[in-house]
Amino acid sequence: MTACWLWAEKGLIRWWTPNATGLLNSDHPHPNGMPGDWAGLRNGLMRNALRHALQPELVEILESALIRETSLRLKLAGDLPAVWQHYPFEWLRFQGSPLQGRLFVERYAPLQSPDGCSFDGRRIAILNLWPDQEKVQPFGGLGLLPDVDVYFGADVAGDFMAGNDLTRISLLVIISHGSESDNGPPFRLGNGATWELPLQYGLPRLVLVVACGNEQGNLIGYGKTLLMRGAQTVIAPIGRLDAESAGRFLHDFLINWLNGIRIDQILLEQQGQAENTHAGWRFCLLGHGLCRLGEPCSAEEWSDARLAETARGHIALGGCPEALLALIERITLHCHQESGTLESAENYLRDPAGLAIPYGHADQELKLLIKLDPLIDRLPVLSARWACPLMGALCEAHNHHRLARYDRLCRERDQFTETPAWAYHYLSKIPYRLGQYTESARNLLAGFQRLDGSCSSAESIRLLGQLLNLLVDLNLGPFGMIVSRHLRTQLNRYTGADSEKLHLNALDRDARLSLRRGDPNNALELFSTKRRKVQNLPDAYRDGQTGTRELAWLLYTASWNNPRSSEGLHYAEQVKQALENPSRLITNMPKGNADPVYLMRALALWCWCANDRDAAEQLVPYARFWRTWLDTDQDPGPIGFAVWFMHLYYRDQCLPPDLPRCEKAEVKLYLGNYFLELAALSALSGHHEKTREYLYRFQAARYDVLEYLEKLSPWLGFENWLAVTQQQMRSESGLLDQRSPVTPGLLLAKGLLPL
Amino acid sequence: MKPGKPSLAQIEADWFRPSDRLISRISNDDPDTPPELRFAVENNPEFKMCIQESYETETEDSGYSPGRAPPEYLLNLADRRHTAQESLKNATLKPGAMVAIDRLIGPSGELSIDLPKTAVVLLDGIEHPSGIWYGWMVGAEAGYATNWDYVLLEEDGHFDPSLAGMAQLWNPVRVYVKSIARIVGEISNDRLQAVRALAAEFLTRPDNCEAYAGPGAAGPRRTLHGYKVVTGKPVRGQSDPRWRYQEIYLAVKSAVGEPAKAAMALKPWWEAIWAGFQNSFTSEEPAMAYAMGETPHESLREGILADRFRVGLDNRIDKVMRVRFTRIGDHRSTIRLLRNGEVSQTMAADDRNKIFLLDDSGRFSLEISDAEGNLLDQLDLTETGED
Repeated sequence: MTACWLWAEKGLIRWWTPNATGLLNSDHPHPNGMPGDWAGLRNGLMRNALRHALQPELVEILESALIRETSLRLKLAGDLPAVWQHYPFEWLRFQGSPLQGRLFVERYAPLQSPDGCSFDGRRIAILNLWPDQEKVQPFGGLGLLPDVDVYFGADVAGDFMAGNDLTRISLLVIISHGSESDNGPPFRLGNGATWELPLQYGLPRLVLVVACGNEQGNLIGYGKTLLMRGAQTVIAPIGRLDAESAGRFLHDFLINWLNGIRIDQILLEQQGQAENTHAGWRFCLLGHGLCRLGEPCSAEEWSDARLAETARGHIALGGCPEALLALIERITLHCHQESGTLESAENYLRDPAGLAIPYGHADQELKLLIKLDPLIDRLPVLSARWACPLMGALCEAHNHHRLARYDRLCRERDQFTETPAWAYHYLSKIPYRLGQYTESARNLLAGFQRLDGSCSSAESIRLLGQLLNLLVDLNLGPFGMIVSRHLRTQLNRYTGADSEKLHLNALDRDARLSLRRGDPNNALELFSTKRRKVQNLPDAYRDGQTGTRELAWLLYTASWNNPRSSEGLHYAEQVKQALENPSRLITNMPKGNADPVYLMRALALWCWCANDRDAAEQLVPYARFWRTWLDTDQDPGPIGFAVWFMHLYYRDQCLPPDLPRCEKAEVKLYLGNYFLELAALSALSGHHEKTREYLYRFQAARYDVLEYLEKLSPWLGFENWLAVTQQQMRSESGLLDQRSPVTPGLLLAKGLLPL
Repeated sequence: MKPGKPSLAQIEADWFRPSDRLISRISNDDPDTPPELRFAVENNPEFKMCIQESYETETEDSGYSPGRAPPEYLLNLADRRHTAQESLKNATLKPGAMVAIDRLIGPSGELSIDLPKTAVVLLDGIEHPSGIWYGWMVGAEAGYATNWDYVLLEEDGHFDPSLAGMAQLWNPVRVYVKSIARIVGEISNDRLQAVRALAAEFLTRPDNCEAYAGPGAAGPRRTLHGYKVVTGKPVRGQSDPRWRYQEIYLAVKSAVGEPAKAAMALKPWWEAIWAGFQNSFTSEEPAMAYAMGETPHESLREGILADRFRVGLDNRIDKVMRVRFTRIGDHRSTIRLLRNGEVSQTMAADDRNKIFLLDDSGRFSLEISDAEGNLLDQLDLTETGED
């Protein structure tokens, strides 16, 4: 049963369904804010259509849900004013029929999830204050039901309340005449005196009031009091009850409750019965509506703790996908209820009280990716709005095979608003990895717009980092320097728990920026510093990092810089060691941004630059793996480069039989939009026409991105966009658009080496 | 308060004359006036005169006539009385409260004992949940204080000084709650402890202070517990006017205690039902007489039912009877309590303990069944009570 929530937010009323949310224009349920003749409605004198009795926006939400589903749950949060709580939603008519039995209304619904909707103790206590002298005695025989005790009279009832541990009672029923008074006690005894429950002893979790109320809902107000004094759920009528009908209602209710049927289902069924108009129809549920006797039967009934624990179990071992889905949906709802946004959604999911997956923890993230991927299409729209970018980012890091799928899903979801700011970092990262820089820049711009001036947050730091990645790839080093300065300033102010990790990421980006600026020595220093820091991290903060990626970059940079240097030899030896067991490495190769492929790239370059036969022989066993890699949807960059470097090494020699053809690597790199890299590699191979073509394509693609980057100027203070870009173009063309030979040293000096 | 003021004759006259209310009832020929009281008044010439005066007073014009300004001490008393009244607006019955008794009302209505003036009692505690308190008589005449009178000082609490001057620890009394007209004072917990300490000394220490005997001004002293109290001196003998004073107040105490005596003589409604249980007990265990901290009414009464259940009476309020069942052994017998023939409460096979609650509004019976549901025994609990 789909839930539609209504709660107060900043003086307005928010409506929320799993697929959409928004704010109502009015704080009154009726379109004209007019009170209606609700007593007439209940007594059958009036027939108000849903369409004419509610705000149009609300009508649309409810009607569309009612057309799709047989029943709908309307949850009115406790912070809604009484005019909402007392509104007779379920008495309105839809398509000519009353909504009773189709629309289940939960009033004063708590925003937080229950600690547990199931009840262990079966005991039911009935306080029967129905006078012995009444001619009609419809409440007899209840004591014959199992686990039911009936306490007769106000004195016994009061003593029962005072002398028992009420938390061990699953259900407390009060049968009485009602005072029908807005003021004073709600019950009237046989001697005419009024009575009320003594509340100083606490209350059981579920209380059912079987007494006449007034048409203004005095018992709804009393039910609210009971909720405030310890009850979790209260069922109380609005208006008068027919005693005979109420007796039958109670008898059926108790049997169903004892049989473990959920309370909303019991009421919904009774409210669907035409003969129940003067009993079941009039009962309203206040508080939690998902309780039942015995074990909970579905994930929505679980407490937050149990739901998270089961979802963690599913991530680790499988077996309960519903828990993972329900956890994500619950996080979505909680985030909206808490702040009206989804900004905290990823934090809640990763929190130890959620799935306990720290940022960057590869093993855990990969497990989440594997378990959530088959379920992603089942997520409602609002949940998918943050889960899809997150999954895309996880694919970017751990499984490139699924990257295109999430790129597509994110673009589909992007038609909706309210994407959280942090998701834009991911929404930029996904197309970036696919070489779609325009889309990446567009999402970066949207992210900066969402930040709305807030700085030194993890979100702004991540967006700046992603922008720097983009500028490095686009060979816009001068702007990269500006972004790097912003990033450094913000990092120095930032004190979040992930500060250390963000600092390390910044070192990596600055190193690559140095390479783009033709300063390999600075890059080597930065990579070396980062490697040392990673290796010195306590195990708990390493997230599986060992410094391998940094070693790969060190050898890659050293190879371009000076292949005969002692440090190059030193790094090469270490990389050779790391790659000495091909079968084990290939078997355990991660599907995403894997460290070993960067080691291969670096050693292949070293092999060519240093003319190292040993290195070549060590890489040959990987040739078949490279072929396989290039045939998949993995990022073709590192392996494509490695293949190309090996072809440069074997230029005048007999090629190893399994080494993929250079054209294969070229096509894959082309499809991955590695245009600047292809221009550089083509230049190194002496293919002047291809070099020129690829350079043109790169520069054309960069122009498309500039449209978005220009708009970032208000945040970043970029100036002279065109002049700087043209200067970069001249520099690129000066080296690559010439027929003169290109050497690794020249590429390095101009910052045009493949990165 | 000066020693010997007011005079013994005045005190005696105040307590032993007919009350204004009784005079008024007789003069108005109130048919509900107890005949023995009417007889006593009409056969006493002095009191008969009072009736005559009552007729005349009623026919006189009772116009306001300003007199002389009241003396300073009266104004002071009025101020303290007003302050006490204000402070006691939300006071409740509790140990340390001083209660006024204007009429003697027992469980069945007003007793045929005339109380000519307001008696005051300092409450020490509740003796019975049905409304019997215990405490000490309080006299207004602190000038008659003995070494076993606790002289009330202004700083002890809030109280009406025209009614309360000293707590008579030699004169303990029981009060029935329906006789309590209002609360006229209360002393602090600390002072109540001091009063209790002095009362304990009265009960446990021989009166050996003859050397200081004789009327005279009250003075401070310390109890054995170290509480500072103000008392008078010991009574010298029958010639001491305080001897007679105490006789008067012992007589007043006797009257004030009558309603409580009547209440205690009444058998509560649940005794009959309990007798129904007792008739069925296979063995009756002696009750634990007094547990620490319990007052006598809380003592348990127990017995064994059908050799399977220990049954105990554990009442907390007079209107509800609480019967506690404890399973003996591992059998899975069940007990059902029926009210007017309908099942009310059940001790299920898995219950180790169960408390059944009964009131006096219906007929109760018990059904004991074995694990298979076969009826083992049936008890009609109300039959004995109605006979």
